[in-house]
Amino acid sequence: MRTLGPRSISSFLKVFLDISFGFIALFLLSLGAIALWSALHMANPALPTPTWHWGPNGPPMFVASPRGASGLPLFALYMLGLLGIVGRLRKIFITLVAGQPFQAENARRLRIIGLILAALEVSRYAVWAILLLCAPDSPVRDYRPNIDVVGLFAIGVMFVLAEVFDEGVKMRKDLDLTI
Amino acid sequence: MPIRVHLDRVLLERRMSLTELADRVGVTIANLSILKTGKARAVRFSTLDALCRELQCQPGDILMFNEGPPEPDDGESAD
Repeated sequence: MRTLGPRSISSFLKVFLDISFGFIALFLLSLGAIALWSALHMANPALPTPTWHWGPNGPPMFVASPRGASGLPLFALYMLGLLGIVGRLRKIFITLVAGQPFQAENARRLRIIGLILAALEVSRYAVWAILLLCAPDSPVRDYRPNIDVVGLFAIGVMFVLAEVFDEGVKMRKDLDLTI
Repeated sequence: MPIRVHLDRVLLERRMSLTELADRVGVTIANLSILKTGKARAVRFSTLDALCRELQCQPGDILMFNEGPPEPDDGESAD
């Protein structure tokens, strides 16, 4: 199976990314709807209370409380970060399927993916610190965020790949002007 | 670039058009035009071989070296 071009491994992976992008976008829209409903419910407790359960016999899950709703924006930001990563990967794979991977925009996209990954990694520690400050007696105090070595390596790999793509752009330009 | 391309002069001497040369050599007119205007970064030996065969000339008739500083590439600075 070819790596680049139509009906290649890249085109198959692009389909997978398209589906993932759709699911994450749908999930974000659902989070937005839940957040809106929570806000309306807090303003008017007489509104009906939709309840979701974990599984058919599981405990109820509901986020109309201020504490529960406060977690939604953070979670939505995290999902937005994932959406940004998947969206940019999709665009890179579009160029792979077209057989023209070495473009300056791809190097820029890889750097942005690296920055988003770094932000998501830092946010883990930031959220833990904020929760510890705001709720020192909560179970958060027993949690210690570990250093995700794989995540840090992934960030490094993104920036290195961006440099590789920059060099690829230069080589392609030379090849285009080679008669 | 210190390497100058005198393809237009040789074409004039041979009374040949760029289109005719492109057909004979098997290179597109656009690429030959890039070569003629000095915008090419490199020339393959196979292309130079075909050009010299069709124009009945030597590589030195088409390419000439002029003393001078090299032009900086995009993203690089000339030291």
